[in-house]
Amino acid sequence: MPNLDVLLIEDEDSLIKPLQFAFEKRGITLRVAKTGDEGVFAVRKHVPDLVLLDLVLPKMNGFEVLKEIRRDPSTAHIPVLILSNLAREGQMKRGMESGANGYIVKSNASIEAIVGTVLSMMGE
Amino acid sequence: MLKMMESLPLLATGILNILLGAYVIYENPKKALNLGLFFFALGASGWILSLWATINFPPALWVSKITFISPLVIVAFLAFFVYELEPKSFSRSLLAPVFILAAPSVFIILVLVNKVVTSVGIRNNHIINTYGSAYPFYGMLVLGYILGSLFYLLYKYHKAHGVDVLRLKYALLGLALMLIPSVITNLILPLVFKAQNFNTVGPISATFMVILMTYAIVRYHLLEIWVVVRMGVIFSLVFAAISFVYIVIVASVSQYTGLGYIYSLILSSLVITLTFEPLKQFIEKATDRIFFHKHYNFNNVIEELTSTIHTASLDLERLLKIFNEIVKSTFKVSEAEFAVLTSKDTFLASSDSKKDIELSPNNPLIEFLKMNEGFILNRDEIIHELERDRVRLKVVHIDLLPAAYEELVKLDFTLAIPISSDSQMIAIYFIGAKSSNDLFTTEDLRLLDHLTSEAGVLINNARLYGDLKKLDEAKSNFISVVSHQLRTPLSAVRWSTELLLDGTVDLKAQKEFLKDTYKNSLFVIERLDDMLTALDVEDKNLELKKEPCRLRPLIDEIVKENEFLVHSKKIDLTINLEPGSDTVECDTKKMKKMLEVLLNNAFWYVPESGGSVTLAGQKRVYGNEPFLEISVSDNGIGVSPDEQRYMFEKFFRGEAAKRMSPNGFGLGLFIVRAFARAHGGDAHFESAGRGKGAKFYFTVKREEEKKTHA
Repeated sequence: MPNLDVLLIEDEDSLIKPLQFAFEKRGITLRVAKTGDEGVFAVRKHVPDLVLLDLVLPKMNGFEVLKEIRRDPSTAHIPVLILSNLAREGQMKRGMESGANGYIVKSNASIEAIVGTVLSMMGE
Repeated sequence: MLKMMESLPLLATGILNILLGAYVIYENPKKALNLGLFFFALGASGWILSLWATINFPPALWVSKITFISPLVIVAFLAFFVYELEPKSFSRSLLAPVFILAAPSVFIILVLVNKVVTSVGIRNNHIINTYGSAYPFYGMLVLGYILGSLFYLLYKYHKAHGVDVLRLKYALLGLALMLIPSVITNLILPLVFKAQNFNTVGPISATFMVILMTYAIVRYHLLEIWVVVRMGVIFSLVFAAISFVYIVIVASVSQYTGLGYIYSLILSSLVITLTFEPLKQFIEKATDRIFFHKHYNFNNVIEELTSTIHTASLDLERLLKIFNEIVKSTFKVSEAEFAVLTSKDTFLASSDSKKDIELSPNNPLIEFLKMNEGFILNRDEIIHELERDRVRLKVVHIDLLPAAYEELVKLDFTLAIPISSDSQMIAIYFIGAKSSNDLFTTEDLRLLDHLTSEAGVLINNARLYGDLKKLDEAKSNFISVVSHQLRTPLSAVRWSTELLLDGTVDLKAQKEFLKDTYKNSLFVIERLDDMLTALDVEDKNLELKKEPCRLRPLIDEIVKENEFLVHSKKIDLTINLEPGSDTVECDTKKMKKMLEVLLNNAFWYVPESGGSVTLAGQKRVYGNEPFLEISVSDNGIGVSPDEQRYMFEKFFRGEAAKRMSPNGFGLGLFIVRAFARAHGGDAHFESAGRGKGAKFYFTVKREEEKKTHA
């Protein structure tokens, strides 16, 4: 899986580290943005192949980030996988309705499963 | 015997009429209505007493002339009285009373010059008059006046509203009670049957009119009178009917069969005995139907209400709507509205009500009702009281009554019934006029009082339920937030350990993951502690383990724990403990928590670069008590004015704080304040607004100094 550009928008260091490590093992280097607005900026600067998006973020929340991505024609097509600990039905529904391509509740998924989902979404 | 039988009641009713007339004049001598009734009563008394005098003393023509003049006075002043009775249909002129009084005056002269009655005598204990040429005209005039008054009264009744309806009802009732017997005994019997035996019944029946009218005029409690009047009316009608039967039987039997007086008496007594009970029942029913619209049964209404309401939901709006429908259909009123106490202390009607009701606490209506607990404001009753310039209601702050009345009129309701719970007025029930314009009776008010107290329970329950629902929502929200906040460190723990177990992680990374796992488990434990502390605060279950405690080492510890944040944000941290403020008697763990919350918040919410945080400790005296005051000021996000009052509420987090750091519990400041209060102090803060920094304080009481003073 060479040269896959995956952007992780996540504010929690202790989550970023294991994710980076697990993706690194498969040869994917994660780009990381730690706030919502940084995330939008990173997406616009270089269109990634996939976005891993947390919802509860400083400065601009995940829903707003997703809206921005879908609004801009140059980024609207990017697959977005929500990676959040908001685990209520309504929250998940809202995430999918905002235009996400998948929704994973962090604590309910193993790190391998997350990597697996990303790879399958990228057609690998 | 007959002489005695007729003589005593005559004397009694004659005097009664004078007394009643005098009482009406005493009530208000200036009112034309009262004046009219006074003369009416005087006429009736003249009629009765002259008859009494004729029977008891040797018959004299001048006494008998009074007997004939009196009915003229009666009918003239009856017409005048009816004319004066509200509502006025014509513009007032002095001409009408003059005209009303003129015609009888002419006939009074005719009586005096012996054109109506020429002589008087007593035969078989009965007064026998010899009539003059003008007698038929005299009779027609009297009858004409009576009928004229009756029709005018009916016409007015047709047009009347509200209290006037009641007044006119009394007048009609009295007139009918007077007319039936007197027309029979004093016009029909003498003219058609040539029977003069019963001419004393007429004057006595005029007393009905006087009694009822006196009642109608001088009643001060419009509501009580219905019950009394109803019984009086039924009694009077029964009496009139019996008299009628008695008269007809005795007259016709003695006239046409030649049977002796005693036989006709026995016959009529027999008929009366047999027909008495069914007659009474018929009259009762007819009276209720015509005069007293009583459509409901007290217990049925209450039963209907309770069964309907208990099957309905706890939705207050719906319940009150159902309640209104029951009241509207029971009392035949077009409008009924609840105004319920709001959190802003105003009384507000439901949004879909026809009228826009919002009453502030200083509204005179509200003030008056609050001061007179349980008093029902009744528009009809109060207008009556105010009209008389003499309020007999037992209320306090009577000076507020006119203004309260005005408010009721402005809202266009008839009744305002306060509803209280735990001696707090929680709602007012407004009820409009009955569609029949009838007044609310005591029975109505008693039932309404009962019903509204049920409504009070409903409103109270719904309020409690509403509070409970809010609490429940807060709880759900809390669980949802907690779930998210705990899932995050647990996800980190899960993923890190998965990688560690995988065995592919190098030594340096292993250490990193283990450190994070450890940190995250501590985080979870701390959050759980916070939650339990919040519960303890709620249950007022905080225990203090007081010991001498040095602040500086605690502060250093906290700063060290946040070293990364302080360094990465390049925070300019100043710690300034006034001499002597470093040591204090307190619960060390709780002191550390308070310092931790304020410092952590400041570290978090200062800008990414150029943040500055100052911790100061000072000795203070508030109200002669020595305190230690700790303040932490920063140049961070500040607090917007609309959020300031919620800052110490549990689970509350400012919008700016949420954006800056989404993973907070909103328990920190709540705990700080609770801990400070447990130490005899308090917590507060200052902020010039959003983005303008903040200064948070907490105080704890300095016990040791107090001891040395003592």
